[in-house]
Amino acid sequence: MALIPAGAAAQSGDLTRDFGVTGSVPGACAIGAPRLAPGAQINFLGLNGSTLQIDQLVDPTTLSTSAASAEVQFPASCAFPHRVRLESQNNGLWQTSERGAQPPDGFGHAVPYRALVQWAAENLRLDADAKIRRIADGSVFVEAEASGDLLLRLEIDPGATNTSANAPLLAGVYGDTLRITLEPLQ
Amino acid sequence: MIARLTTAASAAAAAATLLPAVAAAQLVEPAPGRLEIVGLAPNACVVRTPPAASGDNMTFQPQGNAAGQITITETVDSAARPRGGSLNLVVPIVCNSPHRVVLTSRSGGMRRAGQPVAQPGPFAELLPYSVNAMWGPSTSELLTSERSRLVIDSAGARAGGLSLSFAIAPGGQPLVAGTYSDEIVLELQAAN
Repeated sequence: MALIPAGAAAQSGDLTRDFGVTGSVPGACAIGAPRLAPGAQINFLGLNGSTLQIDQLVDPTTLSTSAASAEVQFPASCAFPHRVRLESQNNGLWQTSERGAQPPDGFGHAVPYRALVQWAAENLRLDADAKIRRIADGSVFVEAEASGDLLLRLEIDPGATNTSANAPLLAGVYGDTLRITLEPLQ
Repeated sequence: MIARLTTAASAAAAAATLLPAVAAAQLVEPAPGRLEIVGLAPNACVVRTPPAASGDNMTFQPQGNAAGQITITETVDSAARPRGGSLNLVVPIVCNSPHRVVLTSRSGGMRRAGQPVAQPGPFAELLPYSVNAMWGPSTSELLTSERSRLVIDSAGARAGGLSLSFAIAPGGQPLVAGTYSDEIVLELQAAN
């Protein structure tokens, strides 16, 4: 919007224009990319892009799950009251390559974990229990606008498997994808 | 008369490739609001110390580190002939991937220690024995008089007890006096 300077010597009087302004507040909520929160992670190698890598998924003497925990921050802001939604793609860490239909007796083949979100004085907990491979999600209402860092904490218990506690895990690569969205309520 | 049982379990050298999708040298842009969690359970076997056992004229004493000693209580009778005996051991094993079980007799039988005697005559210096191994649905037998190694291949993961049945036939050739021993090595090899 350009303003014509008033009082130019060559002109007489002010010149003004009326401009109609139309538009909307784009994407009232936004969330950014993850980064590691300050503080200790246990049994995680760190964040590479959007991938959080576990150091030793299994204990080498028992071949069952090792304890692990990490905290990750996402810059986030929302100009309206909104809902925070946390979605797990697999409901636990599942083998990325499915190997055969029937896992042998006595072995686990998925790893349950807890995901805890702290945002704008609200808490959201998702128990990815790994009982069935499916999408699992949870949400919480935030009754005001907010901006800052959304904190996500992950916790894996020692010996946690989808069959019995302390069962050895079948060999393989295990993973899950978490998605966080902020949805404005209008 | 003793035989030592030692075990070894090897893990596949698969730990080097952790995340096929992420190369170490490349800078990956993190996606907003998204987090992938990844972990690797490498191919591996673990072996535990078998519990103490006693059979017919044979006993097993665990010695820690998944190893132990099999002892024949009375090796020969008054005519120096083998008394024979038997013993069953159960070795607790977990393998989380396809694997191979290998049992090897180091001496090819219970072998007398020291220099061979000059004129043994009808006396032997080697006492043969057999081991029958059972692991899940598979069995295999080792006769030290024929070969010194048995192999069981498993197409999948398995957790349980490997059953080892040792047997020495009574009678047969009398034995030269002395100390007889063998080392039986049990090895678990996880697939690469």
